[in-house]
Amino acid sequence: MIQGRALARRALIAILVAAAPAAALAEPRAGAAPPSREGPAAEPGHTAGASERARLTIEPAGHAFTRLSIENPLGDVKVEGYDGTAIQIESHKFAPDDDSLDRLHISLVPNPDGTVSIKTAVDGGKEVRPVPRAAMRIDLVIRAPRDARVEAEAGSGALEIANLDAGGDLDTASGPIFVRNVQGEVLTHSVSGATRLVQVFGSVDAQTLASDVDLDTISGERLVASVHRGRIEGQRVRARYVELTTTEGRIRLEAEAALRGHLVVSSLFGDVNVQLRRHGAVVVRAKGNKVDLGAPARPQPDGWVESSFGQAADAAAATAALVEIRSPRGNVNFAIIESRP
Amino acid sequence: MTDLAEPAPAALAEPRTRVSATLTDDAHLIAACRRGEARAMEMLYHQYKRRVFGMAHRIVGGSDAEEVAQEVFVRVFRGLAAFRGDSALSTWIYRLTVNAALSHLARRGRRHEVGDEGLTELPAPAVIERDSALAARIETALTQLPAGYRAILVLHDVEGLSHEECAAILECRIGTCKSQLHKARARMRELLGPGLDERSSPKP
Amino acid sequence: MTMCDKIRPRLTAYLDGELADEHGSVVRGHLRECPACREMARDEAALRDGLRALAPVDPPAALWAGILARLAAEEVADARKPRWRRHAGRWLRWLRAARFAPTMPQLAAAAVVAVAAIGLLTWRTHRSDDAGHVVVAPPLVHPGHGPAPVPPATQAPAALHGDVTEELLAEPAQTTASYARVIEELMKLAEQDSTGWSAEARAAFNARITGLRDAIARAGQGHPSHLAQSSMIHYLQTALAREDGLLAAGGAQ
Repeated sequence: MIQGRALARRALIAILVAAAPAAALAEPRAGAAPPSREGPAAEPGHTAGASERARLTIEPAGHAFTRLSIENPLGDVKVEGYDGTAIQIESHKFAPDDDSLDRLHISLVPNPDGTVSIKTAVDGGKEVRPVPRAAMRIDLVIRAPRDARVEAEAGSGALEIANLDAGGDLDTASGPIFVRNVQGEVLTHSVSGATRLVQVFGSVDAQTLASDVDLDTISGERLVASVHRGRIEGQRVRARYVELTTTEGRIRLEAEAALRGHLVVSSLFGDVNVQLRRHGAVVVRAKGNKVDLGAPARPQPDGWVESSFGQAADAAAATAALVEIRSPRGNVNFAIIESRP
Repeated sequence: MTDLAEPAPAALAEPRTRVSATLTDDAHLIAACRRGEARAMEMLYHQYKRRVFGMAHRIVGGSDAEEVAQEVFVRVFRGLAAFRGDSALSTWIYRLTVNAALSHLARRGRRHEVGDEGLTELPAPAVIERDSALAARIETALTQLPAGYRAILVLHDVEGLSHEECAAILECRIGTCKSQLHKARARMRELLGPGLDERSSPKP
Repeated sequence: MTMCDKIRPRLTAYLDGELADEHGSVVRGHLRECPACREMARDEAALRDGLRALAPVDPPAALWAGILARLAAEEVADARKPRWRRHAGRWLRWLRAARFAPTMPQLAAAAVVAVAAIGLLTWRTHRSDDAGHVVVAPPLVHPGHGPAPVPPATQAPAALHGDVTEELLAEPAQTTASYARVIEELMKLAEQDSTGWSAEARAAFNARITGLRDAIARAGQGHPSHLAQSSMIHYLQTALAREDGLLAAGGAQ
């Protein structure tokens, strides 16, 4: 309780400092970044005039926050987990001038079920003059309890989550997605935002339509990534079930084969390159325009070829990992890069 | 599956979370200022201080700008109780600013008025240095302009407000606003002399 | 009246992009031919840009303290004033704010109106006091007690032509359409490929597609729709890569 009060007091102080327009905060460089006029950028990437920073802390009462739902069509969302119980939100609004700045709104609804939803919007106003889409922006930086699940939607803004234990569900139109050090179920969807996942422990389902997916240090039950036009690059991947698919665009995967693991890597038009660290026996089946398995391959029906690595008895046994690689119009390359007994 | 639907009203009726403070918002700000909350008043001040002071500075000049800005904010805080929201808060504040600046000039005895009357009282143009930077020349020329013209130039061209906003602030028709702006710019061009473009930053 | 005389009054509106197309092109046409008007236009554009680029002037740090001091002084003075003078002061301030310079007969006429105006103002103020405060827009954050207002973000903003609201309204549909385009692209490929599939494979493929399309239709808009659409995209990719229309075991789910 005392701690809670202390937090609240700290939040109040934070607001006193932060709620004034950013122009007031940035006093020393105010001349360079005035509100309501074009001039040198106030922030990297922003050339607009007026901006405003605000900070808010919501303390749980009753029970913990379990879910954070964010919809920000106007800018970036960054959520970082921490070892606290409160949700801390920092908003940064940008507009060409003070009047337009006043049209930017953030709503926040805490629910008794432990969900907090945050939404941003631009009001139509009455006496407003049209402001271009690109000139209005709200960025949100949020600190949330580690074990809250994060669900976030953005448009062209970036979505970033880090240090969370209950996974996340992220959806952007053209904004990039970055997931770092997250446990649990992670879902990402983007039309054209580059998607990068680093250190995810759990299950991943990542999809983009026209951009690249980068995967680094992913381990857990299941990793599914699908890209329509763009490449998939994976390294230090170790999941029991891995499925990487592109329509156009190459796939390069460096993975570790789990016992009884199953890897399916396929592209319609792109080349596929798989490098595997193996622990036990591995059976590789492949089909493509040109196939190189790095070992003698046995032809199979319907144009498939097959190779086995490790003990023949193990390969025949159910413990062998199965790798399937398909690229009807591209080339397939496979190699065992380092085998351990 | 993400459920981003709005929470049910029943759920909203008894939220068990405590919000320790609010993010800034006009309506909140106005209500809090009316209640006399010091923090809200200060926020409102910071939100508008640059524009209010900037407008005052360019209409009445540097030496009296602080006095005018002070007057404006005192009027804003004392008038908020009667502010009915029939125009945007910003429009109302800028209107108070322009009016305070113009009446300050009137008190100072320059007798400049919005409109053509000002033209007859135009002081002899000062010699404006042709070699100095465009910004400095413009600042000097502004001081030579009738106050009414100065107001429209400051609102529309310096502050970048639309004709609709300018008309609401100056309480005139949009057409009047546009013709005032045309005349004000013409007068500025006369004061600055021809060939402005060559001396300013070259166009790409 | 020369052409220049006709053009020059329109120059400001032209430079600010406020002239309709046909008027704009008349001005543009004249500027091409007339060096004098062209120079005038260049000068005015330079002037306008110069005004826009003027450095902002920062208020002195002491301004806020000065305001607080004057507010305090006026409040003390208020408390000493009789009630009727407080109203009169407000009324006079209002007149002044309206830049209404009254003459004596006007004042007499206005006095009648003023009595009514004061009544109205007082009533309004009282009304707002009863309600706690007047809210001109929905509050941003629900304070946590009492009935919650609908957050502003849930209200469909009125779209303004060429404004951010217009684009924001259109964006979700554009995103959903991007998914739909990819689906149609893949469906075309599948149609070409399926000629080589067995009848059994084609039937299985068609059944699956029907199911996925139904799921998309049920999902509606936004994120749920993207999830359903992405399932279909993933299925199509996998089916196409396999070249026989049948899904591999453990394929897209």
